Amino acid sequence: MPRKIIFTGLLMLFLLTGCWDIKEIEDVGIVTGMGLDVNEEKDELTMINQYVVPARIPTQQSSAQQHSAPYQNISQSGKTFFEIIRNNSLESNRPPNYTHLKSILASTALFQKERADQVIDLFIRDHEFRRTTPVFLTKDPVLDILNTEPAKELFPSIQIKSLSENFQKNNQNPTNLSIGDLSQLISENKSFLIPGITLNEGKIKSSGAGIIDAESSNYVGWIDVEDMEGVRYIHNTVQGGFIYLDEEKVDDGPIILEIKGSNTKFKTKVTGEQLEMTIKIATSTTLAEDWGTGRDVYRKGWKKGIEDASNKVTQGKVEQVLKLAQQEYRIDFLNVSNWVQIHEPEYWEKHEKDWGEIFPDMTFKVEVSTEITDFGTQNFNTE
Amino acid sequence: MSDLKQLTMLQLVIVFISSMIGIGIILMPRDLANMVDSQDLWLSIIFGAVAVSVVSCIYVALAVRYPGLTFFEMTSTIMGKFIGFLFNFFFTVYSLIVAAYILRVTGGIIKNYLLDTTPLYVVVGSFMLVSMYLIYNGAGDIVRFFQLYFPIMMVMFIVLCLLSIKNLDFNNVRPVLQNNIWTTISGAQITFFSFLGMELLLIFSKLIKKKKAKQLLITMWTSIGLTALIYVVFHIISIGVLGVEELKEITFPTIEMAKSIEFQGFFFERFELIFLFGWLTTAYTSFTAYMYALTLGLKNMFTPSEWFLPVAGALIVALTLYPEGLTEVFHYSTQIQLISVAAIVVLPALLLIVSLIRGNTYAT
Repeated sequence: MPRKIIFTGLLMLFLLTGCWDIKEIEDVGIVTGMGLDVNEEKDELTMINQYVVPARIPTQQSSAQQHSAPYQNISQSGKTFFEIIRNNSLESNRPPNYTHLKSILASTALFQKERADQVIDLFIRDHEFRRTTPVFLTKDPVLDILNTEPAKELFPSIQIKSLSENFQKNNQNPTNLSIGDLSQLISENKSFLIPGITLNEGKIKSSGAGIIDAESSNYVGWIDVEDMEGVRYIHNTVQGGFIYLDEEKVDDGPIILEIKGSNTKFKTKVTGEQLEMTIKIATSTTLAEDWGTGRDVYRKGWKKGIEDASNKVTQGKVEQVLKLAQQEYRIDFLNVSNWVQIHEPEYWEKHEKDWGEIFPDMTFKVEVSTEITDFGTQNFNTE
Repeated sequence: MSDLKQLTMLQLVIVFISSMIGIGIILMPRDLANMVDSQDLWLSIIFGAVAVSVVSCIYVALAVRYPGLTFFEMTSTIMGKFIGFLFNFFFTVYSLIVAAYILRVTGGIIKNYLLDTTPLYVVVGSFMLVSMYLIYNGAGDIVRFFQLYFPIMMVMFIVLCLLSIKNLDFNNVRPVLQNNIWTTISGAQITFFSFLGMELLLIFSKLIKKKKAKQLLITMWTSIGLTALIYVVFHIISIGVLGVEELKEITFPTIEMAKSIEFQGFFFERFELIFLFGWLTTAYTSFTAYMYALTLGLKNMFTPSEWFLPVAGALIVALTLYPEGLTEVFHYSTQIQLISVAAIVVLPALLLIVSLIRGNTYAT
């Protein structure tokens, strides 16, 4: 019996050694953000890793004294991204850990030079990267953006990601696109938009989106902030925001309508070989701000003129984006093909290959119906 | 030896579901997406389930005619010693191959997602040891273990489904029922094999004394139906989250689906690790079931000795470490499917036919 106990004890010494290869969290180089760029001089790829420096994160006691940023950006160039990651250990003793990566910021120059599907290969192949990490595009130098002093967050990389947190309040900033979505769009062979970031007087700002073409898998153009609203309507991601109607559109204006909800429906019609699509947008709004004082909201019919004007404004925005897609770029970055596939599966099967030729010549009809449901708590009625 | 003498219906259902759901739930979405290539691929699972339900009638007929006998004992009763030995040998080899395949894929997943730097033989070996420990005491303990962990597995699957709802994009699943029906039906040749495990009725029949055929059939069909339901729900969610085109390319689609779950700042930010632990239990249960079949086969073919368990283990580990990479492993799956059809459809069917012709039953 005692022999058995001794044997078990010895066995446990071997088996239950516990955390013999423990790694303290301070010694792990947690990377919160990553920048991808090209090095023009050496004709190489550049990768910037934003490391957290835990010691410099301000606590409540020490926040007054310390002002240095709690991150360290290591920028290196090389032929492949993996090589650069491994070369990071030449500059930092802490091995990079990407499981907490918050955002990836790429430059348009990179996507002009390299194919998008090749660029993201490492990020979908390696198990340490998550599919949920959002990707952003910028025309400015990536290192400058990652070096800014962020306004709200401690790290620029997190600031970039959190810009879209208010996507239901404003229609002009795009919703986040994760690396998983990106990979899905690429494998479905679709053109798409990557949310854009700019540097505006030393501050990070969301600004439109960059277009990636399906065929070349390259960056081909930019959608400005003003046009993002139309994109959001077509992507059916509008949940809030506002519609501005100036004096020209509404007599006794300007008027601001707050969007409470919006739904976009797609109807397709095939006559012979001709494809026609109707985009039906139903928006529900309330009267948010009124610079004309003579309106009597208790009288029937006050909404009519405003609703019509609002319909026209929204329709104009959507048509503007469609025009950009069909005439200027001749690429379906709005993912309209998805609706063709859903509503006309037979047509899609036949014409999937020449979608690139069909899309620019397609007829689109945009029908908007705005509804004002509420007018708020008080209304001046001076006349 | 274990004191469990007779399985209840619930225990049987749990044994079947536990041995059917295994690596199939991780690998099937990719194979199916490549084969069917449409949003309707989940329909193939239902066709596969129907095919399996038909095949399961053979097992039920055999189990009813020879209560208390395993497959290995039936063969010699029906076919005589020599042909019976050949049948047993083939079925044992089949169990060995399937067990090794399950173990190798599981090892690959553990190495990919959990234990990066641990050598494969350590992963495989420790998995094997735990399984051997469970089998050591016989079928009763295996059944009880399955029963114990079944709720945990189910909870894990339900939680994964619930957490995935946020990422679900129904536009990926549409259009519904627009695909060529024959392509969808042909997908059943893949889904059929994800129901491998129901043939173990012939192994666990040792613990089924006398049961009515109707009762057994209901048990079989319930477990096949429940498994099919789990598969269908999983596939619809996989398509909804990842899209069909993406499913074709991802090595382990279900794990990637779990990986795309993210609730900021919440406990479930890395849910795939928790899911993997739950899933490992299901892989473990199906592996253990096959390894048990293997040891039983060895015991029946050769003179009983206490060394059968280590021999079985060594055989499996040797076969597991034989392929060099996952590409080779996936490559073997076609051959494995051929062997499976022979072992689980042709052999039992032959047995049943001969038994009916000779008209001998164990009961009389």
